[in-house]
Amino acid sequence: MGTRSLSWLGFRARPAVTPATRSLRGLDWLNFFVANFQTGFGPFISVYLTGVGWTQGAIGVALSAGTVAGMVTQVPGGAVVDAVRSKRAVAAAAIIAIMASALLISLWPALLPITLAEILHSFASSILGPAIAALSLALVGRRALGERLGRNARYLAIGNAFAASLMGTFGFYVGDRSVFLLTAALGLPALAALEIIGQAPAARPKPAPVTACAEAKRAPRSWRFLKDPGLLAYSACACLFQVANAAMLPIAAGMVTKRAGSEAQLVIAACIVAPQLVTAVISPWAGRVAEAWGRRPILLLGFGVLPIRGVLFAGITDPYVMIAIQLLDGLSAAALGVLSPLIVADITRDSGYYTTALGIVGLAVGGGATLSTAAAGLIADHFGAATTFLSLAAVGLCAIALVITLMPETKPPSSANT
Amino acid sequence: MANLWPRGASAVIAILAWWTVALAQAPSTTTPEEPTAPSAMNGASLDYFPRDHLFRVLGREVVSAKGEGMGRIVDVLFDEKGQPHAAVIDFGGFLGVGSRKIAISWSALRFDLGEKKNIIALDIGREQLKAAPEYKYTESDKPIPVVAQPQPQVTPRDTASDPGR
Repeated sequence: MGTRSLSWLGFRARPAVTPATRSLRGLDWLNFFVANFQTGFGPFISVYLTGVGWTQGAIGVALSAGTVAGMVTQVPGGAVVDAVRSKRAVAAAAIIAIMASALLISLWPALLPITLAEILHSFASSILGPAIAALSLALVGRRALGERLGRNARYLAIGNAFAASLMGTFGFYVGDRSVFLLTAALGLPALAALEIIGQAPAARPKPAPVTACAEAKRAPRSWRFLKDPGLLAYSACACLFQVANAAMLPIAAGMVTKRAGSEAQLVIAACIVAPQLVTAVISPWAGRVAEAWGRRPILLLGFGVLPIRGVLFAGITDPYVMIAIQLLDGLSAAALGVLSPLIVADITRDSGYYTTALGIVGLAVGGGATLSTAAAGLIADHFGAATTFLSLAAVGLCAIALVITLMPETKPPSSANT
Repeated sequence: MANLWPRGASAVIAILAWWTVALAQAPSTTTPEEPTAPSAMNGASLDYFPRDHLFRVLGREVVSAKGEGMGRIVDVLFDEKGQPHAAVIDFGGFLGVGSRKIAISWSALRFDLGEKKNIIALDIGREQLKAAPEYKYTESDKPIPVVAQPQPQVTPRDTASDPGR
């Protein structure tokens, strides 16, 4: 493995290469340990707050604050990462902020602290994701970015599966509060991984290959990327994809709870964990193919399985078959997880606004997800789950049409990519 | 920028983490105040009850007749006289995904609190709840579906033979 990733780095026959390998390993572990930062703060927080005697109305207020903050902070979060020179420092600050919000939630479950913790977590998340993408770009350069993002997505997926299993177990056997203490505790190895990454660039030889990052530092920053039709097109595609995608798992899980007996929790756990394993397996492949063939084939694969998933969910009621259908979600997650940071890197090039543009895509994705759960909830109330799944599948088809008609191939010609 | 995260700071964080865990798990050892003289209440009376006489129900777990966990009480619905009529119980879900709220008649719950037992049992099986409509917190104009037992008095032996688990 080591030699191959080095050849990607462009280090030819250079023996003193351990620091670079070390920092790439560090990046692997960073992705693994930050995966748990989303698990506890999602739907689980309403379980926790219910357990400490919160009313449903108050829980709704705290969760809405988190949702709104999650969207509002996307673009500013990305801009912060662009503005700060040390991506490592900004990532460390975000990790510490998320640890602090997890501790706040576990120790002080009152309305104001919980709302503040949700907002703090949202802002830190809006910084952490782009910061990791920027770190990856700085470490491997633009030419090897697809491969690297594939690895990021793999370790993120393994971390997600690990975190969901661990936190589910802790929540069940120890108590809900332990889930947040665990989240805070897992920030420590994430910081350690960040420390490992950090030692490499200093040890890197000075005449390093000219990376996108190095160019970006020198070239004047320009907002021209905003006029790039690719960014708008990809934001629209990603938004529409999330409108079709985000509500599918919650509604399917609701069906499982309704149809399955006491094993419902385990079936839902499998519906969450199993697709992560698929993502872990195929993400590096998706990254390589995106570099070799282009972004559109992978994009179409990821978007293409979504309507199939919707139609299958609409027709199939057996809880165990639903786990198999959820495996398709792993394909979509791998494609989107690799391609979002890759396509945005293609588009922003030397503008110096890589993570700001990532924030714009993040805003589109977040808006799509919020719209998805709201609209699907309404449709499910009035017309039932099957109609809801078919409607989501129809939106998924529209997303595919959008990719085919609007989305250009953003892969730079390999000869011109120096 | 050489050492972003000095070792001392890690140790402090570790100690803080340990302390917070200990704090979270430590039982409250403060003793309640002794009853004060009624005169301090300006005429209103003040009574003290032992901890095992009064109970909060929001967030409490509901178990099946066999003692398996089924869900949690997330809300209580009262009638116009102020009597509790139904408990909204959140069933199922993993880490909050896929949970389902159903309003259950208050009479279907058996309370056995106090004496360190702390049991709220539900005499309706999972199989019977499968077809039950979900309770929606936000809907204002629709009638509220409340699941009750077929007969008001069901002996525990009947529910134990429920085909569901």
